[in-house]
Amino acid sequence: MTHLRLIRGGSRPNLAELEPGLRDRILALDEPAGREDWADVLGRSRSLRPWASPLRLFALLAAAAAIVVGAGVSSGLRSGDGSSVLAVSRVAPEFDLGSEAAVGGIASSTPVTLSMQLTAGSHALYVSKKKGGGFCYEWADEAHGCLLRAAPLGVAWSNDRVVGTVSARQVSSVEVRFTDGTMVEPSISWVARPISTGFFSYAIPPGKTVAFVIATDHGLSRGRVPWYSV
Amino acid sequence: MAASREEIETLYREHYLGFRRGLAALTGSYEAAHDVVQEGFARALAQRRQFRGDGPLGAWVWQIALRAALDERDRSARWSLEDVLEEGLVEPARDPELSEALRALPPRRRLVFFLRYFADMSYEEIASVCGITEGTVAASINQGRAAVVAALGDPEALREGVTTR
Repeated sequence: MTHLRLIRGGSRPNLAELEPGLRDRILALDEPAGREDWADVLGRSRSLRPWASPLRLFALLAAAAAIVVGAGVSSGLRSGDGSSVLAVSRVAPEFDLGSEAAVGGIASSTPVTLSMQLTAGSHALYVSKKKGGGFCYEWADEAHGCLLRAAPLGVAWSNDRVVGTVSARQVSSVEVRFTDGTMVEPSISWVARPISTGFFSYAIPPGKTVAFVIATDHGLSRGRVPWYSV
Repeated sequence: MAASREEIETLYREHYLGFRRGLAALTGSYEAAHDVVQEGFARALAQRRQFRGDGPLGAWVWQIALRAALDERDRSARWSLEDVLEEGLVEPARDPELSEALRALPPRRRLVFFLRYFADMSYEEIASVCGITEGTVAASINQGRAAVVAALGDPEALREGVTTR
């Protein structure tokens, strides 16, 4: 009855053409109604038309100039300065994690179209787009993984480090909150579309205990992960 | 003739779920489809002055959204619409019999059936997206329905919601 009401109400008018049994089976597949945030669409649309704003155009040109200058100055792969937007360079046609990497299986089983190495502080980050969609990453000698798409906030822990990914579309910054009430914002290495993900790796200072990690978008919480019990 | 922002917003608000259902077949999940729907409409907004009005606005946005979905899946792949529905359903395990019945349809007929009853598109929109006539759309739908009903069992059993296979 609910299904019939939906059809008569006009939400799935085409299904009224079908035999009742077939119609009900198709309706039974319906997923719960999802969100439909038009504001997000508007935001994305603006980002697709940077020339629409003189300020954005200037920023775009400035960024392009910075990349050209940076490429001319540095042919190396490691900047080592810990800045949040880091040098990017194609380093290999394969997702080469190195012979010493414990996760070498990813390298041989993961077809990729692009590999690059970033540097955040003293830590190298390898990121590869997979041909079949998604991407793989590895912080040298630390966490690694493959994702189809970054969640707003994904976190992995060890006793002295917190490593994670954030969706570049939904998150602008990450905060690590400690049990003593203090917090830090670890630097994030952003990788552009189609990976659209920010990566962070933060060494927890001795004597500090993490309470939770929170991802925010200009002050709005997008995800929160509490410290696991050890 | 350009599409207005208001027209595109109205299309989004009234047909969001149909777009998401349709695009989930390409992305493999409803969550990823949400992202692609938004990307498709964002591109449509950015390109709205390119809409010539020689077909339904919905079909034009569908083509953009399909391209966005396929860009996400594999930017370098050659593709055709018929190839994207190989599994029959986004989540075949939820109704394996129906999924199998859809998979048994010829690719073009399966696509038309899917666009009609999962993506809720009009004959005109389907014709525009697929590059065929509305008459061909109608014929494909009738043949597809008959084949699916036959595969699932006799019509009376379907009416009771019970299959005979």
